[in-house]
Amino acid sequence: MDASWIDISEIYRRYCEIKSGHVCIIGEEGYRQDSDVQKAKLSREALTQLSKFVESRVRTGATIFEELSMLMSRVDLMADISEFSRFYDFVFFMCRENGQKNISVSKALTAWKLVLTGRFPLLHQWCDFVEKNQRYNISEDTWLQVLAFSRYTRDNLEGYDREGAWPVLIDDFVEYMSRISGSCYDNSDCHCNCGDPESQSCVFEDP
Amino acid sequence: MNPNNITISLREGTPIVLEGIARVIRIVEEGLENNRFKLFEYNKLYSTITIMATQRQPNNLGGHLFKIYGDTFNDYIDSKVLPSLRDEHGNVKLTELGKKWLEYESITEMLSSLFNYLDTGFIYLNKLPRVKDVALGFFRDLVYKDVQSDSKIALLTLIDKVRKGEDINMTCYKDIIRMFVGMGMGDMSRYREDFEIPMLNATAEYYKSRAAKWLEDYSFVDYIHKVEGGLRLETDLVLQFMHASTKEKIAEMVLHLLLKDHPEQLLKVGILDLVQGEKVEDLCTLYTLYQRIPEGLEHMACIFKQHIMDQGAAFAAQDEEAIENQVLAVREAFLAFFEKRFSGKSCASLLAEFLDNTLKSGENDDAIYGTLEKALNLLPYVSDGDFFVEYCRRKLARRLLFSEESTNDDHEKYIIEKIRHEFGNAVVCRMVQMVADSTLNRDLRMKFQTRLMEDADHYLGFELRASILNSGSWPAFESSDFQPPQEMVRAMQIYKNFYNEQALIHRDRKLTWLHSLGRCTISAIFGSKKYDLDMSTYQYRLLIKEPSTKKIDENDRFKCNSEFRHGASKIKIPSPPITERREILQVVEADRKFAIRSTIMTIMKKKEVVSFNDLFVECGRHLSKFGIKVDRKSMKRQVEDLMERKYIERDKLNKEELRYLPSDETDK
Repeated sequence: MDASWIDISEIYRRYCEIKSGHVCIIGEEGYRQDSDVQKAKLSREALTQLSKFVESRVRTGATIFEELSMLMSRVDLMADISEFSRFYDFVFFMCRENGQKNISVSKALTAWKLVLTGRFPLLHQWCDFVEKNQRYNISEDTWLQVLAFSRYTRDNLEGYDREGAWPVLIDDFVEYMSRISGSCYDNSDCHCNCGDPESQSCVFEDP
Repeated sequence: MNPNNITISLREGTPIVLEGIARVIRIVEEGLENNRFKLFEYNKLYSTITIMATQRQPNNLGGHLFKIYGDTFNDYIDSKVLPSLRDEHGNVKLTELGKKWLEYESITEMLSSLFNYLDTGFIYLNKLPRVKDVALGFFRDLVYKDVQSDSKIALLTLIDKVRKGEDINMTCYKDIIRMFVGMGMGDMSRYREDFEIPMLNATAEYYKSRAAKWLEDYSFVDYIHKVEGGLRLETDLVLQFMHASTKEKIAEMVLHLLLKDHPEQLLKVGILDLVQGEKVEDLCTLYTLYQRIPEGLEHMACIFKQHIMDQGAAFAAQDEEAIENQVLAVREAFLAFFEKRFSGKSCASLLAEFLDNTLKSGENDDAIYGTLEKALNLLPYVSDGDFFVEYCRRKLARRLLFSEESTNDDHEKYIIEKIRHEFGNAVVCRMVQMVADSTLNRDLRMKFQTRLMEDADHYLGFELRASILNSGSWPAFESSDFQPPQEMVRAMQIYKNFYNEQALIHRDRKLTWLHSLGRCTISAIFGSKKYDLDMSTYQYRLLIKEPSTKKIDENDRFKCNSEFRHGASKIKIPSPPITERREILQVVEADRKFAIRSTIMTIMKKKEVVSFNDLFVECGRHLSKFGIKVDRKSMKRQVEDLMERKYIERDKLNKEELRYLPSDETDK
């Protein structure tokens, strides 16, 4: 695998392979399924390899977001929830720079707007809030939990549990929302302007 | 002034002066930027007037200039000021007067500086008023006398309208107030007598009648909000157009009238209602208001104390377990109310301060132990133990360093023992080390003195008292690039050599001098008296500051004040006060972060998989042993941090569960 230009679809295909357990490490085909620990280790190594490869590939000049959006048009993300989750993870993977474990706020915002439009009714408010309040980079855990949050909460914040283990940023967001308008969430009309209502109603089932 | 002995005759000079004056008036009236004097024009005018005023008799023209100067202002009032006011009435007259005063004031400023050599010559010889006062005097006699009473009444009417809710922009009457101030000719007498006192009297009348009416019409909470509103209105008015010095007076008066005579019973019931209803915002308002009247807070505290005692008495009648729960509940509520929202002081800092003051009180042993014991019994109730310890440590450091003679090791050890008993060994080890350092220092100093006596080469010419502080145990002190004087450098070197010769354990230690903690006593002779001045090393050279304001700017200069006299011959010069609250906050927060993280890791290692909520509970229980109370949010932050470092991970299926990642799995 040389570092020439490779389509993002190919990277995504490999990413999916690693994630689903079909690990393939360059120069060391196959893996022994003797323990979960071993498996996790191999998959982590494979991811590191892939990330190094992504860094070194020749770029066409298209931004990462243009590539992702192209990929979105090709992959059937509507197929099932796990397919989209994997793609969502992949977006984080691609947004990292120089092997960092987190991504910058501005990248995260662009990425959320790209992939969650139509899937997260509070997307607009969420991005607004993060832009104004978050100073540090977005960690992987926060990134992943935002997807879960978007599924739990749907049109209002009822699915949110105060005692739950949500990341601090999400806790703060809920607090901020209830501060700016107390009763607004009972009225689902309020927040439907940020997505395509059809996809909301047919794609997701409550987890 | 007149180096070349040029003389200017009356006939030569007068037209130049008159032309110059006319020009000044035009500049002020038309306010044109491009109409300004060119530098050489101004210089010429200035030197002409100066030469005419200072040339030798019989050529001196001071008298003539003085007349021209006076006539100018007289004419100006007759031809410009009075006519413009004659036909105006009411508020229009008020603004016109303000405008005219502003112009007159500017002309006075410019001309009085042009004619200032009259002050030292002609005026001085003839014992006349100074040029500036002459100009102001004309205005006072010809204009101010007739208008001040009307202006004051007009202003008071306007203020009254604002109080009744009319929206009037008072800023345009600022100039009238300037006139009152300016007419005092250097002091505030006219402003005070002709405007401020009548205004305050009217205000007092107004609020006296309000107090009675509001009391009748409104509930306690609404009354308090009315008071707050009134106070805001009055201070706003002052900011809009009055002199800033009035602000405190009016605020004090309003609060006094509205709060001081508030019926005791109503106040008591009102406060307790607020407390029981958990109306924190309203209580905050009440607190900020009462804070500003003398003994206001003491009064509030008294009512509150009575309330707690009553509650306590009520609990005492119940069985034991109920009592404990109730008392804890009251304490929680108390902390939530008073620590977080109000004074910005915490129980931790107050208790540490109290201990410090007790130790410094200089009472006899029994009394001190008695007070200490009582105070330390409160330790289990201190919610932020780590803050308390840090405050104590800093207070201890200051005591050991700056009032060493009066520090009693036994008292210190007693306190440390108590803290150890409550919060554990780890918390106090730095304090123990500090006290040990201080004991060692006494020995070390004795040895150093003997050493100096033995060796004649080491004659210092002054006494050096060094303290060795183990850097890990003492709070971090500021070290700076202060350049000590020559004799100190030598003494420091001698000390360093001495220190290195001491027992082996010292050999590898590095000495850093902390001049920020240094103090020095110097003997000084002012006049015929000898003084011992005790000051910080930094102050060593700076004895007097120019200009003599309290703030220090970069360009200020300092010199020795040879005029200094004082009754006492031993004087301690205090260092500027330091605020360490912020710093303590940072230190403790940082320590706390590590404490939380290590606790989480200990638990995770033991349990491997644990739910978020269990972790919080366990972690909270563990930390409370050290007097640390942590909220959910700060714990979550640390969990997130550890997740990012891949020490732990969130379970892939159940997001409420956490999993420990053995270290060989983490990608280092």
